[in-house]
Amino acid sequence: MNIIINGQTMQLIKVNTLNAFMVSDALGQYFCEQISEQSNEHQLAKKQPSFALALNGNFIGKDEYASTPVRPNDSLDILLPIQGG
Amino acid sequence: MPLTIYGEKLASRLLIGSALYPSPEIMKKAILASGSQVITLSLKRQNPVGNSGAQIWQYIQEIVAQMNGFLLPNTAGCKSAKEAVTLAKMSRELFQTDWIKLEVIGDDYNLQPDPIELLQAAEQLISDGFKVLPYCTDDLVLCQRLYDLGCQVIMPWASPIGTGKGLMNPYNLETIRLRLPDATLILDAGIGKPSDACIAMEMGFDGVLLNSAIALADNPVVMASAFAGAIKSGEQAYVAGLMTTRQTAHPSTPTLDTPFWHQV
Repeated sequence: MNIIINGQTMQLIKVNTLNAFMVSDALGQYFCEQISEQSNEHQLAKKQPSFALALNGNFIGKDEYASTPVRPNDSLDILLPIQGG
Repeated sequence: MPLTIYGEKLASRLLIGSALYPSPEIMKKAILASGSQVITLSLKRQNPVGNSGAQIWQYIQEIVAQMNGFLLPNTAGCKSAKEAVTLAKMSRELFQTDWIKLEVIGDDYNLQPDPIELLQAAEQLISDGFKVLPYCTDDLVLCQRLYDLGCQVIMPWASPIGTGKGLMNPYNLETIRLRLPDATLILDAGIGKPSDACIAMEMGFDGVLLNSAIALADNPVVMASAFAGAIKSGEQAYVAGLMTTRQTAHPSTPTLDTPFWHQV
C-alpha cells in the first residue's frame, strides 16, 4: 500500500495481514527507512526529534497514533520547528 | 508598566522573529540584545532524522530559558481557516503553548491577510481554548470583530511583511487605537526602522513585533538594541503625553524685554 509522507510516496509493507495499518506503523517504517539512509553512526545515534503530525490535513495527536488507521493514498505531514517571523 | 499578553507580564514591548538571520549564532545574540521575551517561530515539513532545523530549535529553547520568555508559534503559509487551525493544533502539541500568532494569507503578492478566513479561524481556535494573536490588516472593523470574538491581542500590519515600508496608514492605526482602548495592540509586519517602531509606540500601541528589520540589518545585534531603545522611547513619550501641534509659530524664548524687539 502506498501513502504520501511529506509529499513523497512511500510503500508500506504489511507485517501482520490481520491488522489495519495505523499511523504508528507508518511512522515506524518511515523512521527506519530514514535512519537506514543515513550511513554514519553519528546520524544513527541521533535522538528522534519532536514533531507534530497531520493526516490528510487534519491534526493527529501523539496519543492517537496507535489508534488511527491509514489507508491507501493517505497523506501524512510530519512537521518540525523552524525559524519564523 | 509591563506589557501584558493574555495575563503574562513582559518586561519588553518588543516581540521578535527568529528567521532570516545570517547564522544561528547571530540570531541568538540579536534576540538577547533585543531584550524580547516573546520569540516567534514556525513549523515546516522536514525530515525528522538529522533535520537541519535542530540547531535553530535548540538555540531558541536556550534563549527562552535565559530570558524567562515565551514561544509564539505562527501559522505562516496558511491560506485557509482549516489549514491554520490544523497548524495551530500541531504547534500547541509540539510547543506546549496555547498562544498562536494567527496568519491566514489571502494574496500572494503582498501577503495580505484574508479577513474572512482569519475571522473563521480565530473563532474556531478561541472555542478550542487557544489564545489567539491575529495578524491582520489595519482595518478598524476587522480589528473590532476580532476583539469581539475574544482576541485580547490584535496585531495590525504597518505594511506588507518584509517590505520595511513602515507605517503606511498612520490614520488607520491611530483610529484602531482610539476605538479599541482596551485591546492590546501590537504593530506587526512592515517595520523598517527603529523610528517606525517609535512612532507606533508614541501612538499608544502596546508593542511591536518585527523580524526582517533586525535580521537583515548589516549588524543585527546592534540593530536589535536600537529597536529596544526606540520602543522604550516611544512608550515613554506616549506616557509623558505629546504636545499638541499648532498651526502657527510660537517663540520658545520669552519675547518680553527682548532687546531690539519691535511689535509689528
